[in-house]
Amino acid sequence: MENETYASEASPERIDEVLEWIARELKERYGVRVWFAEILGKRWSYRAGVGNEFPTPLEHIMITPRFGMVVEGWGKIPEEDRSALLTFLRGYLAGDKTGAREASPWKRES
Amino acid sequence: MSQVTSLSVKEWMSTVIKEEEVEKYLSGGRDFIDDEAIEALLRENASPDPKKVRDILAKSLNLERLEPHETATLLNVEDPGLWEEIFATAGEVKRRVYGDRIVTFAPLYCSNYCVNNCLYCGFRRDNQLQKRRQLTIEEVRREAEVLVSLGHKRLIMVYGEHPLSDVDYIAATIQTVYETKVGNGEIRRVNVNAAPLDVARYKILKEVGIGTFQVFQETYHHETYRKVHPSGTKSNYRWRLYALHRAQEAGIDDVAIGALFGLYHWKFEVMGLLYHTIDLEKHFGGVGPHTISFPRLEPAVNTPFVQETRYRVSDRDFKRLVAVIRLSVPYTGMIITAREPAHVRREVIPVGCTQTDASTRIGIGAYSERYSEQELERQQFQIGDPRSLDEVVRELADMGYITSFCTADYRCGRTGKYFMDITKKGKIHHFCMPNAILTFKEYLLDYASETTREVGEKIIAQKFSELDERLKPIVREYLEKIEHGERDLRI
Repeated sequence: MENETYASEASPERIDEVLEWIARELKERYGVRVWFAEILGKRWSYRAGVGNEFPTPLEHIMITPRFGMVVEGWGKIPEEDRSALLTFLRGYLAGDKTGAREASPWKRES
Repeated sequence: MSQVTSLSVKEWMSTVIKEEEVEKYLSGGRDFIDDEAIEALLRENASPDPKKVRDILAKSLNLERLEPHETATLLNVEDPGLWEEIFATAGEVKRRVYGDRIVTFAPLYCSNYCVNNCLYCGFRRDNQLQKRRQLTIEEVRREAEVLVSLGHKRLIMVYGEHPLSDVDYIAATIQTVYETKVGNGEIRRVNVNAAPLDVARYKILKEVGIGTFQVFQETYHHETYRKVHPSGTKSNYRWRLYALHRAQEAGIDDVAIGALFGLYHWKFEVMGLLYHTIDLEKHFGGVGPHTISFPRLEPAVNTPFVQETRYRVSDRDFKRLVAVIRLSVPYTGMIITAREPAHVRREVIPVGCTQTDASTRIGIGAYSERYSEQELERQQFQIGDPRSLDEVVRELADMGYITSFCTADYRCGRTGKYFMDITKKGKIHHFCMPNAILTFKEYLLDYASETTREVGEKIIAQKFSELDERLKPIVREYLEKIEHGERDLRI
């Protein structure tokens, strides 16, 4: 399963699937809502993730010039995991999937 | 027009339509508009029983999209008393989903060159009385500066279909608008009304970060469509019908549909809009149109068709069709424009509209050249309400509506499926009303007249008091920051 996730070509559908999975994990592990967006000029266009239905303070984090994430409760994630997550995402979304796999904070279990 | 010959126009036109991008959506070789089935539904649901009508209203109040036979039932109500119930329910649905707020924008017409020959349109190719013009990038910038100076944050940019205003021109003009700043002001969201594109061209447009891509089918009735679009790429019904399927396929997830009322029977067109919604939702994970528009035919220079049509929609039927669209697709935005005179807008906004334009000029270059009278030979049609933004904002406040300049959703990733999911649950007003209050406060401080500011502050106080208690602290904090000069605060 891990190979399936990170070693495949990063088609748009595949990227969305991986981002969706990360969002679910963050919700389950830390109670943090995160959704990912493609940055298109001023537009942050929804791609995947767990949105909220009630407004709360949010953080906009630019992962790469192309991708961003909007997070509710970023501070609930331990610093070390936040850093690992961002490293993973930057690598994955920039297409550097080998490095990203090493940096991934979680191993996806089948 | 000096660099584009008639030969090169023909060559360009031959590259526009990609039949394979339409065929993939057909079912058994048919598109999703079955004229006979629609006519039959309208016949079969004539003279509906009031109980049946009330059951349908209850379904709408539950924010469920109606099925075609249910919409046909509402369209066939005759009893004026029952219509009053329909209007009241439509207003309640609007309040439940969107609250008492109206999003405001301005149109910016960039070019009136067109390869099409639509009988009802002042821009049509063969209209010799239309003065052709395309804004240069610098002229677009000047137009945007005027609009920003008026307080607008959101535009719809409009283009005729022509190689001069191809996708590269559209992208460049949008980019220019986004880069324009005047004082605290800027345009934060650009929506686009342009001809249908192929998937590859939509992807080019997606890159500049557009808000919504809008294509109106004009009429869903096949035979009428054929008659009123005698030549040009627009004569291809299905290329237009699936324009927004292709946009979604290209990753543009906010799309907008509409019909031009007055070409064919209004009841049929409402049914067409519903079928269009259903088909988009079917193909794109429940994501249908972001907005629905319902313009009525208006006079245009040298365009006798407008006077001759036998399908003109009366004010009474116009209000009815707006209410039925509201009830049929409870969660979708609805746009009423300055085509309509002020008294019609006042009458119709309460039965379901969520967006309107103001300070509208539709002549090419009309904002920066500041011509105050309408010049029909530079316009697509004649507008009915040329009032200033300040006047419209004040009137809306008098009617109990807060004017929203909010563009937060599309800058927070609340687009497409995410937006549609929370809107269908009736939760979007949790986001929209606080952001409406914040952006309205900005407007009052930066652009409003003294009188409007006075009325506006009262509305802010009222809407603030109605907010969910959990939201009040953050909104109060942001309002204070805005008072102290901060801008573009949003939740």
